[in-house]
Amino acid sequence: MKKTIYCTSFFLVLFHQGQAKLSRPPCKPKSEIHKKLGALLILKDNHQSLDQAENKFTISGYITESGSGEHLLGVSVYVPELKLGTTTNDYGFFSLTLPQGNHEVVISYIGYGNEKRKLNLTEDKILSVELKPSTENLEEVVVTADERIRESKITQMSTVQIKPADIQDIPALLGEKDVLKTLQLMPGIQGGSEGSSGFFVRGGTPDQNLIILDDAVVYNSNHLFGFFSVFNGDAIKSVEAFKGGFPARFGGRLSSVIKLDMKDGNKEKLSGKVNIGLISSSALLEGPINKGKTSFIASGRRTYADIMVRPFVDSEKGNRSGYYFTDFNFKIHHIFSPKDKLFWSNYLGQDKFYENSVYSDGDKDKSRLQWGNITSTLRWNHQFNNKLFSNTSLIFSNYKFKLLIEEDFKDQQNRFKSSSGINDYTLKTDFDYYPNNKHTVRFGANATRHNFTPQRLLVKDEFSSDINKEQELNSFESAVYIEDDWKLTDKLSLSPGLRLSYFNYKDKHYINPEPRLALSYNLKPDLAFKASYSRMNQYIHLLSSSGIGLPTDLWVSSTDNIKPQTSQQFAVGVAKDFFDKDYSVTLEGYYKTLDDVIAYKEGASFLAIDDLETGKNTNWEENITSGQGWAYGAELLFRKQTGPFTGWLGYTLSWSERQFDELNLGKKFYDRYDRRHDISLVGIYKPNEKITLSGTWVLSTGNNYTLPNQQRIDNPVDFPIFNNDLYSSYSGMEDFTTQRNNFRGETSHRLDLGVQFHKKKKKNRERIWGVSLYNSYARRNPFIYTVENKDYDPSTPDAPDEKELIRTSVLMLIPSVNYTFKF
Amino acid sequence: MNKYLQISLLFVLLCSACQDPVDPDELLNIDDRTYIVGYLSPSDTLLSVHVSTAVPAIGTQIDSNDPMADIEKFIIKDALVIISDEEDNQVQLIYNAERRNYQAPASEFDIIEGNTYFLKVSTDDKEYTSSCTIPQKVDSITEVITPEYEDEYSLKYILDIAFQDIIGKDNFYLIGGKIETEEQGQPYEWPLNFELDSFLTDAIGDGEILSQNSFFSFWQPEEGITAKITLQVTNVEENLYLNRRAAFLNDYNDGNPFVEYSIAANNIEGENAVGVFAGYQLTEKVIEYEIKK
Repeated sequence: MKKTIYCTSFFLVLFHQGQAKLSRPPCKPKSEIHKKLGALLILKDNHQSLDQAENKFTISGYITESGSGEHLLGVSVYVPELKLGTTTNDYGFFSLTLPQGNHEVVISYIGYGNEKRKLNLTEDKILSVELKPSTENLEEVVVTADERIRESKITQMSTVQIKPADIQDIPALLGEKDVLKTLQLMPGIQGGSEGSSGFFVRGGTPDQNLIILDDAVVYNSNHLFGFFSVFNGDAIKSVEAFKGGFPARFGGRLSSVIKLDMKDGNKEKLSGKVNIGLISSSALLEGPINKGKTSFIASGRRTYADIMVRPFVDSEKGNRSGYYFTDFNFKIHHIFSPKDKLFWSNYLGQDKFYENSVYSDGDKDKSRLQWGNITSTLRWNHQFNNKLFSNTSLIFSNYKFKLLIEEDFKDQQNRFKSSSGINDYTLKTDFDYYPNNKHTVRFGANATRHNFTPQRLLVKDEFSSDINKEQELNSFESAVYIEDDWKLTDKLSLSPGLRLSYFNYKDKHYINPEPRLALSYNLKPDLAFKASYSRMNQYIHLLSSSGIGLPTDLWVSSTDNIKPQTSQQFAVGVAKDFFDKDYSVTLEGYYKTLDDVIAYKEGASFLAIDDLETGKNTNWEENITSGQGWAYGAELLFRKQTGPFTGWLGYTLSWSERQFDELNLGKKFYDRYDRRHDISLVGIYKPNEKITLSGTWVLSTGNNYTLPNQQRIDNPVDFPIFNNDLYSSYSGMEDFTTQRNNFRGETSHRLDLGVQFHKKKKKNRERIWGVSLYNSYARRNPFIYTVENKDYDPSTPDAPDEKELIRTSVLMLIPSVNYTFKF
Repeated sequence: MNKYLQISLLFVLLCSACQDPVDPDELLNIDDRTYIVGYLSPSDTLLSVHVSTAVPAIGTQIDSNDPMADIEKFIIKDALVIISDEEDNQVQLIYNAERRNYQAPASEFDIIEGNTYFLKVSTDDKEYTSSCTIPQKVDSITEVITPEYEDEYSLKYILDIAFQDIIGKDNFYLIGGKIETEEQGQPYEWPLNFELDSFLTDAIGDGEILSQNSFFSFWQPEEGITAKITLQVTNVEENLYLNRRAAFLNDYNDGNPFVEYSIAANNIEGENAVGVFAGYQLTEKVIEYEIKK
């Protein structure tokens, strides 16, 4: 509570200071309250007089990509002389109200050329602009003056954008371009174990990240136990990550929002891309169905390790085994009229292990392990007028995990089938309202029905009775929100917001207000001080033992016993742009508290089933304990986004602590992924049209592990209950530790290198050969640590037993090659 | 081309994993600690406290052919171990080489329900202290035995036991038991195994009836035999409960990387000390049950 009061006071003081510079302070002494009210009244007076003095008109329209008609989001539309501007929304729409007169409007977007339009504004105007890509960044469009809305000009803080082109250029494990692994190179977004695409934002957990693809929640973003993410970037138009200062339009998770938008499809011509890599191939096709009106995009990826190992498997008798994963994206965009547009986007991804065995006596068995997501979003954009824009979405999101074992023997047939999953059905509507050049108001509502199946189990065994049961939880989640990006003065902008969230499970109702506030004060035109506060609630939780994104991780609902998780985050920072060099620097500090976060109890199993033979259930609620957390730290991002050489340097200094009454004997402890230092250095160099060189170097403090660091004599005093004696060790000693996460692993670092050779062909076709080297100096970074008995040495058969600390490392010096053809 | 791809894949797999021993010195706290354990109950005939050195898990050599010879080196045999009560009555426990513990006959020092006892261990100029309070005894145990399964070879029975939680405080229980039979003049004894279910709390509500079940099986006896079944419920202090539960879970989950290691309880005060000094009360019920086809 105290922190909330301090923060509110802090914002009020800043707000007051901003106003004080705008208007001379009154001569008469006033009380503090009168001073603040005075400032507000002065503002109101100024505002009215400006409005009354000038006629104002609105320019509005869409910004699209030349050649494809793709709507571009986040494009800067700026009038330098007035220092007024806006950015396009998620659908490329903008609205800017300006005084009557002649103005020069600069439309600019990183990676695209600038467009300047001179307007004689005497009435409302529609301005639709096509921006040309600046030939893969080779033409350095350096904006040498204050002509663009940049980091120091926006109120929002704690956000990072990644261009899809960067994802394609940065070297990746086995050449698999990966959105989430690229995000891990940003400060504040930390990867988990080596090679994992699971990520931790500002001391949070993976389930506290809201990953949305075209408005649909993607519950499991991992392939192959987290080594790859489900987003390969081919069909992705934009990636934006919010780490704090969350706008009110986002909610439902505590730590981050990762917003991915799929391309709409080329409306002008048929184009595509084929990529052949070491472990997978992908293809993308997009084009008009009805030129200028309807477009489609489809992309798919499949790994083929299972096909490649078939020669080594005895498949003649029907023995087959393998693993693959697939992704498929499909989207249709139809323009009914300039004011009404429809989008239907879909994603389907699956991982599958399969094994069929046929024995010489005719017995057969079959096993399947598969998991995957399906999302489908139907969106309708409607532009009511030049100041009001809406989007309504109908969303389906599904995640399912299945395990099947079938044994078909002569004398018996056994069947074991287990599955778990979640289905979401969401209706969502959002409005963007641009009443004048000082306000951008967004408001909306959403409602989701969650259908959880923590476990569905079918066991048919000839030696015991059949089991056929299903656990099911249904819950309802909804929210209404309003937020305003309010430009109080040339220097001061404020973004207040309120989200009211509601959750219902059976008779339990949770209603929680979530205030949000962000502030930006321009100390200089290119230097802004920023601060933010946000409160978040999370009503659904992921039960995960590993944090590395195993398919067995289980999504569950808040219930009567499991409360929603909540967080509060305070952040302050500065953003500095260097106009002449087009660099930007942001430095942010944050403090986050987490309440009612959940974790497995010590010794609890991650499987929902204790005993596969009897199907005996462990009630997941009994395995869970809740506690609190604290995360704090600082992040630095130095970035260059245009020119032949682009890249960034990110540094994170952070702490993340937890306290659970039922863990670590109630004492506070550092979280597993509490890492003091994280450094990432990313460079992409394009000296000419034929070659792209790239490299990333990352360093991070080791993760924390709980390892038995001591041993003591087993059961040294008598106790009458016999059960534990069953587990006495043969050596008479037992391992133990008195502190959770008592061991910090070694520091990890690695250098990844990549080179791409481009060859332009006729008809705008292009061929690209890419070679990359992951962990190029073969650093043995820890994946996991274990305490194990030393191997038996036959030369010293009487040697005593001794344990040693073993580090398992993976992914050293992994080369890859891939071939891409664009047409 | 396919051949080259296969070779490439194999190369990638070969490069992708390795295991190395790591020097733990700079990564893990591996200092020796003094390990002290003592459980007190009014039902004890001997008061026992164990004092030894807890050694690093990594790098300590133990001969598996004769572990006791190595373990003997960890025992601290020259400590001064004193238990006292609230009225400062004291008893010194003397080292018993056979049991590797410090002991005193319970007849010399009364252990009474509700009383608090203090432990003082002095060794090598260091002093360690702790205290415990003897919890209340569970009044009675009820049980139901239900035949569940029978075939030509074996019989299986389900045993349900129940007792009422002690009202007015948070309680921690460990339950167990044993079965004794005699066939052809030969005595047999084995424990009733409740596994993790042997650890119970009153989290479901103060004063509630707590119940748990286990099972036991027999080979089909030639003729009816009588089994002597001892049911046990101990009401224990929280540290004792946590300590035994952690040991059980760590053993049970040994080798499972997806289960968090359980943390051992510690209520021993003093530099670099670890262990538990705690009180408990035992309630037993012996029944005779006829096993027949």
